[in-house]
Amino acid sequence: MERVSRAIDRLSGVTGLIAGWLIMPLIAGMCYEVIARYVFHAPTIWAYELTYLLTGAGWLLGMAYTLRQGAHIRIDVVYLNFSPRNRARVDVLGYVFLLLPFLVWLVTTLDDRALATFRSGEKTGQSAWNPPLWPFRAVFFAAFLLLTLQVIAELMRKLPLALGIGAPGSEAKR
Amino acid sequence: MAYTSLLIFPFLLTLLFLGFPVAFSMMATAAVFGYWTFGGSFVFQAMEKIEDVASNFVLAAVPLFVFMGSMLERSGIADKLFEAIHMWTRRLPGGLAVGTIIMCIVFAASSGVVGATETVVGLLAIPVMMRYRYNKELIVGTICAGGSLGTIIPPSVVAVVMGPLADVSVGDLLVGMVFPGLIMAGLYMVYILGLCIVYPQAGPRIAHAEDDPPLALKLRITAEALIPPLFMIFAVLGSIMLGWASPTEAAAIGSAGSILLTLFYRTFSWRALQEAVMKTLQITTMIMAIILGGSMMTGAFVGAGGILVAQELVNSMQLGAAGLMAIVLFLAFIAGFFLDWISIVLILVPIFTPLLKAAGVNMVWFCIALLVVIQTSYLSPPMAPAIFYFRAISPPEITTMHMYRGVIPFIVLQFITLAIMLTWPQTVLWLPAKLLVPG
Repeated sequence: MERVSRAIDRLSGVTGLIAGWLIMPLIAGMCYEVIARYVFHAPTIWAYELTYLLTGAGWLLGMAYTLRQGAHIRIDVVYLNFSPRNRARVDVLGYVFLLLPFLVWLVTTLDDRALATFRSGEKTGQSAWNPPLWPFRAVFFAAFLLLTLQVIAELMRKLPLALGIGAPGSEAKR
Repeated sequence: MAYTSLLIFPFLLTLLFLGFPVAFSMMATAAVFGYWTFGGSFVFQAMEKIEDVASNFVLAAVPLFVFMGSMLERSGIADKLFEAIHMWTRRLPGGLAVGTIIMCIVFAASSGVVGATETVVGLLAIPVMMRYRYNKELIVGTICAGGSLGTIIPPSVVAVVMGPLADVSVGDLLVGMVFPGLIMAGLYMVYILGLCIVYPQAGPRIAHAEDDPPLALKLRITAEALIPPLFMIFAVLGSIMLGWASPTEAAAIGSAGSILLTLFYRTFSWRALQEAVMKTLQITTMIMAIILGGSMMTGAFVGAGGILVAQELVNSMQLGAAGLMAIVLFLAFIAGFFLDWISIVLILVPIFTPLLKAAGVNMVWFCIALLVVIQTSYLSPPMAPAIFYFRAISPPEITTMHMYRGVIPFIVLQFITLAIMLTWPQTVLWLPAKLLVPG
């Protein structure tokens, strides 16, 4: 159990790192576009689409990492007054009965859509650059798959506490 | 029956108050009500929402404005600014507090989110103000109110998020908030000065120091500390105002500028850059995931006929434009006690935008009024982000009661700002009309 959840943590960490640094080509691309427009009088055809592709890919792939870091904001006025065990219960119940079923539903549909887009060769149709759409849709799938895995990892860590099994110190051993 | 669609709110609020993450609460609510309304085809609607939010060019400004601020916070510019500004303000009554507000304005104008700015400024200013025996409530109010100016002083991520939802141009919002933002910050300074003139012990003047540097040196230190950040601020805001670049492009220029600034001050380090990059990812993802959850939820709500029901309810109340606007702003103020800004914006704006538009309200004006009300949400406990940040860095002598009492005058000042901009809509609408004339 612990090895699985730690492996998922590492996976989210690596994708988070990649997702985070996507901001550098984003900055560079936009600055180049402005220079190209005013200095060379020749705006690019790719800057507009590259911007939303990089931004979208960045935060989608960052969702799992952000969950791992505990950085998805909570309204914690009440939550902080709960015992650690009740906090774990809120998370476990929410994950098991609400979030996970939805994510699994979404992921199993997103992979079909990504595959179908790959086969049909559909393009984005947003600008003259018009790149193929399947890589972006593959990112949707990957991002939600990673998020699902990270939710499972969080669940494995919190389940013993929520159920009241296992020594409270078991968390410290990892 | 369409009225059942209104059950979406108690369901969502229950999840939120139990402390389930906001983004996931909204996604779960969307899934439950979407499945109820659309059955199995809801998943396709949800996928469309992912595609919409992920392909939004305007929202690309979010990570860029966040990065710009994160990088500056790690650049060590704060120390230089603090020193430079206080050389000029320290002999005023309450001078340290006034200088702190000025520093907060500079930071707010170079950062899109509220957050770490308060920590950076607070770590510098609190110990000095404590040493000079400033009134503790005044210290809290100054740092909390000043540190949360980032929303109302452009650039502002809140405006970037609000614009597409309210169907107004982000450029109009960023330009329209210039005067309300400056009015608010100005009121803070006038209040501090006034308080310290009437009660000199609240912010004692600092006696003329022997080591007061000669004027030429003072000017040089100031120029060195102030000109580069001001140059960057004008590059970003100026190019938006003059229509040279879209807000997204201006944000990219600002991000590049923030890196160049650290090189200029020789404070660049790969570690700081890495920290800024990963902090930016976390904040951006947190915001974007909530926008995604919120837009899924709005989709389910609209599909279940919720907007029509809301419209009927509001029409039956015969409110008129002013009454409707008052209700939305009041709801936002109340929500601000418990909810964070993203939840407030994502819940209220999509529901009320069609109603407000039908009533003929100017949406730019409304959005800025909502931004001003959102300012209060940072300060109003129990869910008061500004106080949480303060608590993390406050000395033990400052108690929670000092904090709660300290922010109240500043909340009043925020309402005075609101009253000013509601009474004279030109404070908002004049500048965009002047600058952003098409063609």
